[in-house]
Parts: sequence; C-alpha cells; structure tokens
Amino acid sequence: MVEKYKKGELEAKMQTAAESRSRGIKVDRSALVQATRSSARQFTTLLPTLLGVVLLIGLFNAFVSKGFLASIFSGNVALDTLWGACFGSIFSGSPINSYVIGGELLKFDVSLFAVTAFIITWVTVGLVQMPAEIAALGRRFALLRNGLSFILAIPIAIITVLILNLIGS
Amino acid sequence: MILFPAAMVVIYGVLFVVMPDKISVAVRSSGSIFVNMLMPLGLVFVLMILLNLLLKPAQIARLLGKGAGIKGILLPAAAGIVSTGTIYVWYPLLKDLREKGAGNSPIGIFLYNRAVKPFLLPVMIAYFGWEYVVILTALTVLGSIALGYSLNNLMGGDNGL
Repeated sequence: MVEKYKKGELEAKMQTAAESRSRGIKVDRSALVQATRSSARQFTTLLPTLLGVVLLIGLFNAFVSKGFLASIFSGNVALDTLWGACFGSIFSGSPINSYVIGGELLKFDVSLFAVTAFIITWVTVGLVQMPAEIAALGRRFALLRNGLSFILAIPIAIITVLILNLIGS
Repeated sequence: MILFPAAMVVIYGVLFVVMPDKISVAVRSSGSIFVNMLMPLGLVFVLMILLNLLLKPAQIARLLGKGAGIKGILLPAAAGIVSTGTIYVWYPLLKDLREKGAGNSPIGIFLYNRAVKPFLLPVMIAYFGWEYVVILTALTVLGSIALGYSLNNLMGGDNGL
C-alpha cells in the first residue's frame, strides 16, 4: 500500500514537473512571439522611410552630378567634416538611413570625414526633435547637449578616419 | 511615415513620363541598393527579435541614475546602446528619471550612445567595413563620456565620477 501510495505521489510529482516544464515552454514561446511581433512592428515602421530613402538615392544617382557635390565637399578636411555634420544635424530618423545615404555619398567621392560626421550627427544632434527634448529635459540641457554633440562629431569623425588610414584599411 | 515613400513613387511616376531614360537609371540604381541590403536587413530583424526578447524599456531605464563612478558612465552608455525605438518614446522616461534624481551626465551619455545600434551593425558593416564600425563605435562611446563630463560641468552637478 505504502509503495503504491509513494508511486502515486511520485507520478503526481512527475506530472506536476512536466506541467511546469510545459508552462515554462509556453511562457518562452509567448515571449518569443511577443518579441517577434514587437520587432515586426519596429521593422515595418522603419521600412517605408528606408524604401523612400533608397528611391531618393536612385534619383540622386540619376540626376545629381559628382561636380555638384564636389562644389560643396571641396576636399578640405575641416570644411567637409563641418558640412557633413551640418547635413546630419538637419535630418533625423533611424540611423540605418544615414548608413545608406552615407554609403552612397562615398560613391560620389564625398570624403569619409564628411560621411562619418554626417552619420554621427544624424542621431546625436536633433534639430527636428529639439522642441520635444526641450519640453522633456529643459531648454538649457537640450541646447547644450545638441551643441556639444555637434562639436564632438567633428573630432570623432577626423580621428576615426585617421585611425582607419593608419591601420591601412 | 508613408507620405515620404508615397511622394517618391509619385515623383518617379511623373519623371517616367518626362524623362524615361533617367528614371530607368534611377530604378536600376534603387533596385541594386535594395537587393544589396536584403541580407543585412534580415540580420537586423533577427537581432531586433533577440534584443526585444532580452530587454524591456523599463529595465533599460533602470540602468540610468544607478551607481556612481565608472558604473555611472558604463550603465547609461550600455542603456543608450541597447535602447530601441524612436527617441520620442524615451523623452518621457528620461524626464521621469531626471525628476527622480538622475543627473545630466547619465542622460547625456545615454542620448549620445543611441548613435550605436548593435542590431543595425550588419548594414553599417556592409557599407563601411567592420574596422570602420569598430573604431567609430569605440570613439562614439568615448565621446559620450566627454559629453557627459562637459554637460555636468556646464550645467553644474555631481559628475558621479
């Protein structure tokens, strides 16, 4: 009788363990489904603008000459980096757009200094979102943070490219 | 969100009528860019799922305002790097943290490190190479520390260093 009871209890324990394992699997699956849904939402938010950027670059490639860009990005390291930082500050959005635009600008012989500054300020400086930042964090903080971020982008861009040249890449 | 790509399609349509030769160059160029992006975009999606599985905004926000010294730098930097989504989502959280005592330095470091996006690295590497990405990422993180330090000195407050 005792053995039967113990066996019964054991079976009950095993069943409980199996149930909690299956509950654990359900929780993990639901977390994965939730994460996938959340990622799909983020991805679909990102995709339309990215497609728009790709189409814009196509137009750029067809209609804008290298000469036009050369008139802005003259080859002077300091000026090119400054221009790149300025353009990046104006735009906002997912950084992926800055990588795509930056990569295509390189094909137009725009210097890596300018492209790097452009990529950095695209995210770190936000003229478009400044009102929201001022509302949340205060005018002084927002202005100082954006100003410092703009200034920092220039030496970071220059040092990045110099190191890259040093390692021969 | 849909306005910009829709406007581009309309422009393509109009220009196709006026300058079909140029537009076929544009279409070929766009198509080539998009095809080259497919694999990196696939990797981006996978990395997004992993990050969303492992981290939630509230957990990330808790990293801010925690710890002094080196923790007060590394935790906000890590939080900025792993944070996802539009900045507009983060502003209310940051405001809340500021009201609860988070300093200017960690908030500044967090915002600067949002330029580093691990799940977008496949696209960045595809365009610029891994050496460039490593160097830029490292310098961005170092730059964020300089920014945090400067912000604190200019705004006044405890550096937490």
